[in-house]
Amino acid sequence: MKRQRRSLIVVALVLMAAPLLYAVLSFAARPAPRPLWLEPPAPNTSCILPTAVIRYDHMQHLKNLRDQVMREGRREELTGARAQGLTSCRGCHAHRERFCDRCHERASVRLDCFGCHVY
Amino acid sequence: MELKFERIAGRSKPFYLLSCGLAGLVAAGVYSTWLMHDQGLHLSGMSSRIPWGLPIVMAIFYIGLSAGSLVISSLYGVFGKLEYKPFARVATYMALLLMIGALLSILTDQGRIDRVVVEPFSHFNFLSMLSINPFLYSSYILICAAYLIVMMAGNEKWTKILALIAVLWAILVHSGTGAIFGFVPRALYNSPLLPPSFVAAALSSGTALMILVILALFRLTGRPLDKAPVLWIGRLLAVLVLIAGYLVLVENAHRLYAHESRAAERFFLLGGAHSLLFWGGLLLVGSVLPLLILFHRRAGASIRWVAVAAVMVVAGVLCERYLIVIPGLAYPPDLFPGWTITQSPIEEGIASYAMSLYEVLQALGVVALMGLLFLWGLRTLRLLPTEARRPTEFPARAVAIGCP
Amino acid sequence: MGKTMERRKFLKTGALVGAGAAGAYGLPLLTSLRASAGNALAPSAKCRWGMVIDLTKCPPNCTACVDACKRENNVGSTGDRLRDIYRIRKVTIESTLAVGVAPKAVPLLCNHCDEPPCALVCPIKATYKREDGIVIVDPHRCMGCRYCVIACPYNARHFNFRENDQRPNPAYPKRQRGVAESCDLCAHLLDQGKQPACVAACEGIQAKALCVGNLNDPASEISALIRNHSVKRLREDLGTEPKVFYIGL
Repeated sequence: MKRQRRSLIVVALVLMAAPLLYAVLSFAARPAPRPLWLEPPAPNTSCILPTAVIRYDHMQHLKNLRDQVMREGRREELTGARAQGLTSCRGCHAHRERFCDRCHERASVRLDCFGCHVY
Repeated sequence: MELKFERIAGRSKPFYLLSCGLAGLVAAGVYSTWLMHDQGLHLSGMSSRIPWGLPIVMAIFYIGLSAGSLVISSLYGVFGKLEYKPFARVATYMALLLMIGALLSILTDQGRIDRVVVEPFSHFNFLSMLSINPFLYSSYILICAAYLIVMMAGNEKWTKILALIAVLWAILVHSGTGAIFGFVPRALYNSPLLPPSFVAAALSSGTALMILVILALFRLTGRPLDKAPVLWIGRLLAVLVLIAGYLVLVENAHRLYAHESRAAERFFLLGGAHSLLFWGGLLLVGSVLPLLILFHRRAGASIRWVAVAAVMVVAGVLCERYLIVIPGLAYPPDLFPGWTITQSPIEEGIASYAMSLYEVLQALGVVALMGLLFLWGLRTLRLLPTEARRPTEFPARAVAIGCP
Repeated sequence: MGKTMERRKFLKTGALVGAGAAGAYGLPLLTSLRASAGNALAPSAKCRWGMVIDLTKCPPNCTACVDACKRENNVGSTGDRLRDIYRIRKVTIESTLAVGVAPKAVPLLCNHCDEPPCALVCPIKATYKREDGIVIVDPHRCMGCRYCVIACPYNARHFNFRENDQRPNPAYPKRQRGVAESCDLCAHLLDQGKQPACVAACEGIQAKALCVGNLNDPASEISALIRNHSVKRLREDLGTEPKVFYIGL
């Protein structure tokens, strides 16, 4: 009786751990990931922020911009290269699927932007 | 005689069959919920004019049942009545499960489930009843769980304290839920009586459900059960049904009397299928007949008839929950007093609601999940006593108030 | 002896239960006191947007404003009367008090109340009143509880039951299914100094029945219209203080 229960627990634990184990093992078995290829921006353009800043902090930047425009109704930053807000990036990075999506897919980030904003 | 609690064996064929059946219903509920969110909530019967449907009806029904269960457990926990101690653990466990079911119903009803666990706890609007209630509900679940734990650990002092907190919290939770509707400026919602009437209906439906659960559990597991405490709960039920009925009566009489709400009340009382639920479901089956049974000298002393009355009360309160949510939405606000809207691109005037199969499956799924958790809770936790007999050191209280 | 003990215990518990109930009522009471203090008119605000609709100039069978709104704001339509979204809709009303009164065509939209019931009940402030008086839904935050749709006494709020894939205006986002929606007076256009789509469309057909402007500016066209005409607001008795004014209602 007690033995039966113990073996049941072991089986349940193994079953629960199986997906994790599978993920770890299949990840380990995969060849090293190729370096990410992002479509280069349109020639002779420069980003609104230094590359390092935009690469690591673009989400914060976009969120701040969103809250400014949406919640405070302040659009003074939406001028020039940023006139279109979130989709201003389109000016240099024409294809979302070759730019935004590449990184986000690799990093397993689920976006909640492009269901509404056309990019 | 020492009261002993034990697990049920849970190895019989019916137990497994029931579990499988419930699991199947849960799967159907999960599937239809997923479908409604994958395709959009238009798969439900809800519309722009009736944006709350069956999930909300069921949610407030469960919330109510939860309070009633807690009252039964408080008979021991707060009032120290030893003859109800055998039912206290089951009752608290039920209260916990029902609140979880209610929360699940509300959560899966939201348009954006992905935001629902984050937003209510990161942005607040304490002017909104819906902002206060997530805190009340989640804390209620925690309090119930703590109450159950100390009760099962046998700590009498903390059982008493937590039981008291739980009962007070239940009243807060239910007033808050009633206020979701009562404080909104719609003709059939706006009412200061809605929170207390919500509490009263909650207590009566939950008490009735507990009678049924107790009878079913002890009968099905072949445990000896003393009649007297159950009959006394039946008396309690009668009083609660009276109070709930009185509040409903006052509320509707006021609406009928006041000029500004008379047309709305006429729609409520005589305006369509929901009126049948009011007269037949809530008044006749849910209040009058059970009262006749419970106050009848012989029927009120028969377990069988008390069980029948309990079924009627639960059904009546389900009707009442429907009547709280749907007719209030179906009745249109009067946008142009003295004018009527004859053409519009959307539905104006009295709106119609037909619940869809998906909603029904979702509701059944939640019920089945609670049932499953209840069954397996009985199997894993020491919830049921070996028997529920009158403690010998106590005089039979039921006799004192006139139950044979 | 035992009886009186029981009774005392019962009374004590009863009193505690009563206190709980008082607490349950006290909370909403306190919050609503705060509500009327916090949401009062803000005449100090530089800009307070409002709208005047002149029904005498509104052609009965014209839906220019409705169509322009759908185009500008990417509001889809599927022909489902029960669930389609209309930020602005046109209804025909007929008198129930007297016979022979000509029916009227009335554009209905969000009234941008100064005391908006929708913003009052929104649990997460996804719907809120901007400082310039526009009542707006933040679709980034809304979780789709639909309480605002229920609280609005003007049936001016809608819910995105379906995914909408009609996007006539790529410069403006659409909404995903599962969030609430209502007129925001084309805040994105007003903020850029342009007219809302419905107003522009109404001017485009030379009807000029709609006018949006600053209620706090005595020199604005809208202030003049309100001064010089007898204006009505919908259901003023509700105390919601709408900022959409009707001439000829």
